[in-house]
Amino acid sequence: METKQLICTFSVAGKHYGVVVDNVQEVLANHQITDIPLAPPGVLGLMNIRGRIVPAIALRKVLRLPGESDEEDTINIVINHGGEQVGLMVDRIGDIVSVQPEEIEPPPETLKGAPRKFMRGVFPVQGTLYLLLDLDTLLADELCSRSASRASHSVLQ
Amino acid sequence: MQENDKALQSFLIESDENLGQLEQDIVALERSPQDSERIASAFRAIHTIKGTCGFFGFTQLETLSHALEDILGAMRDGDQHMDLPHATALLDGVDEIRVFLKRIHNDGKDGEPAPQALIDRLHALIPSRTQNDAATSSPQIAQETPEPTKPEPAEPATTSEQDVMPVSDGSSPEKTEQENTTPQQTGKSDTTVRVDVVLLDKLMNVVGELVLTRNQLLQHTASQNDAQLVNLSQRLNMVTSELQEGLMQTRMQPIRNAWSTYPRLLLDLERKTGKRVTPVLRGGDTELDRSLLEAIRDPLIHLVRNAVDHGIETPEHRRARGKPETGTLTMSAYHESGNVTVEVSDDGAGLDSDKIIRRAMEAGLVRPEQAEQLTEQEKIRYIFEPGFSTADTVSDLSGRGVGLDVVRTNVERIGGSIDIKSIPGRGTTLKLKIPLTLAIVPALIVRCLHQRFAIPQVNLMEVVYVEADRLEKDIETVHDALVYRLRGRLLPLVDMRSLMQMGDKETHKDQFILVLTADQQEFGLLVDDVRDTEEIVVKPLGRLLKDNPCFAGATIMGDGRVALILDVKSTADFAGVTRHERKLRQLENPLDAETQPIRAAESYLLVRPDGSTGRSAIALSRVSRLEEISTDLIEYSAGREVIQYRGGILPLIRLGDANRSTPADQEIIRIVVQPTDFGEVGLVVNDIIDIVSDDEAAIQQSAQTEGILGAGILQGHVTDFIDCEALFSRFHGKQRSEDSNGN
Repeated sequence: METKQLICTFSVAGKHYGVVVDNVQEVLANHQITDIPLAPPGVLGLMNIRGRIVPAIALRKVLRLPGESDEEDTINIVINHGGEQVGLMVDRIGDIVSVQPEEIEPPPETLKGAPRKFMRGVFPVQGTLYLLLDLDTLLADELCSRSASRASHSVLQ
Repeated sequence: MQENDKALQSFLIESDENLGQLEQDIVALERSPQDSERIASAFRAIHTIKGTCGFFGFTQLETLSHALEDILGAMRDGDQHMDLPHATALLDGVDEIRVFLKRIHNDGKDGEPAPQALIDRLHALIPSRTQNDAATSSPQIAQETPEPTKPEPAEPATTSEQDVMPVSDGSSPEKTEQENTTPQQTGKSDTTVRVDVVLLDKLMNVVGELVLTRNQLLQHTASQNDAQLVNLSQRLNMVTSELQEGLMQTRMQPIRNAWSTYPRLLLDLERKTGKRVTPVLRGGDTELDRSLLEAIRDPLIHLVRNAVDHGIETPEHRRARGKPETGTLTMSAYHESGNVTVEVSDDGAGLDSDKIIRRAMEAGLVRPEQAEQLTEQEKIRYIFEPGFSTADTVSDLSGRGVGLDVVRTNVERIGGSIDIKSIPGRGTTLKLKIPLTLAIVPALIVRCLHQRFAIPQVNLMEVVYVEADRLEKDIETVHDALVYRLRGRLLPLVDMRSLMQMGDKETHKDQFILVLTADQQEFGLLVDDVRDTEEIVVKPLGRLLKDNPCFAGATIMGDGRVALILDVKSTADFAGVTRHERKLRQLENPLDAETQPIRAAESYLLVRPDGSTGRSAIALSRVSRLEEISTDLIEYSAGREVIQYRGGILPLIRLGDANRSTPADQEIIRIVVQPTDFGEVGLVVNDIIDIVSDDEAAIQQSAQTEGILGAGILQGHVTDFIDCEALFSRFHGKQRSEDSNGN
């Protein structure tokens, strides 16, 4: 009954994260991205992935991490979320690790702020702690889905 | 387990189709109860559902369908006839079966029994003999279908039986049943395959990708010197195009699919309103892309509801007006110049244009003096304005009377258009023009800063090129709104860069104004460059971006990059152009009073005024129409020349010296009709020479005469520029003083 969970690891702004591998479709490097005017701030733009239009999420922004990602070298983890594809922009891609379900613990109490709600749990890989992301809450975040136009519209008037 | 799931799935799909058929049959039978083929078809449909229920063990659903089957069985045998109570009960039964199917779809079980009230109602309609049969027998087909020998008078029963079962030659009814259904079903499955729409969409995507790759390959091949490669790529080119075309066809569905629910809908409407309506459906085979069909399904239903609710009169009214008591609702669909046209027309009361315009004035959509100038057709179009309703009473049939604006929005969103025609007392026709397919649309590719955008061609009227040097001169600002004078009209402008917050202007570069229409309103979109027109494949933006106010989707360009497709209607709303336009209209008159005197790039109407040989110029933006009338028509009112014009009185003003006498030999006079603050006025001129556009025109000598701005040179002739404002106010002032003298 008990099965190991495969997790795809990556890092953003020097911090380590993971997503369940079942959700991951592919990993792309330096994919061409088209800007979307008036897009939600967390959505960096659109990519063409073999004929599909896929939005690219600036994970650094959504996770409220400081700094800008170096435009030179961006990695895109394309995930399948509820039938639609979404690209997560990360700094570095890591290994795929297998974790026992009991190894995944709830996020520590000391982890505070907005990012906490995106965490499904914490798991260790060779002494380093990784945060397992919950894609549902991540993509439902206002930085991902709330159009920037709402706020700016009133400014225009 | 898997097998069983599949069987259950196909049971659900088939039952849904059967119910659709059954519904149509019941409604048709209500109108022509003797249609034996319909009875047979209805019976077959419910029989199939009931039979399969038994197979899956859905006993509750079986009980319900059994009751329906009994009633239809009795009709088949001529024991009963379809009338309104029967039809209503049966249709309620159909609805209840749908509830069951939904439950089965969700839970896999049929769950609770059908409401007892419904069952009782249905049982009450079953003739007692059959009911007894049904009560005592197990649900076997052979037993509940009555024996050929009946206690009823033999004559009518036999005839109807022959009607229903023409192939019956003494064999049992059950066998006939199978003979009737089986060949038809196999015949169908031989030539058609059921395909999941999701799969079709996926294939469409793949083909889109193939098209893209083909384009890239063709580009590459052109630069190579390889005959073999050229050959192969040409063949690939052709095959790809054919594949694309074929796949597009698989997405086409006949419009009949959208109409199939109408008979039922009409029956419900008739019941609620007490009106009688006969539907006439024409051109049901006309095919549309399925996404478009989905998109117009609700708008069409709305139009049908409207037609019955507001259009067609009650039978008493109709009789009083000498019309047949039963109204006719005609739906027709046909291909027309690359579009599909769908018409909904009724033979009802028609629209009251005066009432509409009154309502429009109340709602502040139109000013009284504007209203006077509108044609009947233009007045009726106000019915499409947001928040408009002519229904005197709020009705639950057509919602709160709002909605035609929503219909129009929905139709325009898919690149279509809607038009209305109405003849009072004779009826109303609504005409929808729908593109054949949504998936591929022609679009103009434009550039704004570093990005490309696609503008759907249906929204594009024209493109105006503005040189960098002229930008400041040609693009004016009125109360923070940008405007451009397009042939004497004020065109509100939207700067794409600032609207989309894309960053700073490119300094001193040529610009393009795209003249776009949305909601019958025109506006200009300022972009940096205009590229080609291309057929683009429209792709959705996905959940995360569905809130975006300006884009309808995205497409992939020849180089593999993504370009966004502008949703012109939403962009106009987002930019507030519609409101600006209204504001501008209100501002127009005072504004013109200040700035009217001789503008650059204005067009002029060159005329020869009465009684002089000199030339005069009238700003074309001030001209409504040109008319020629016979001098006989001139009448007098308060000592002034007037004519009857478009149902009103048009005062005439003579240009030139105040010599009012018309040369006796002249039978025709020419009139330049101009709008003023106090209604239209006709300027009488001797001759209309030409229309000139001259941005160098300048008044070189100021005038001494009232009503003349001054003189300049146009087309090499000295020309007087007419000061319309002064002329009118002088005229108006005179009239006022005459009025007050009279008092």
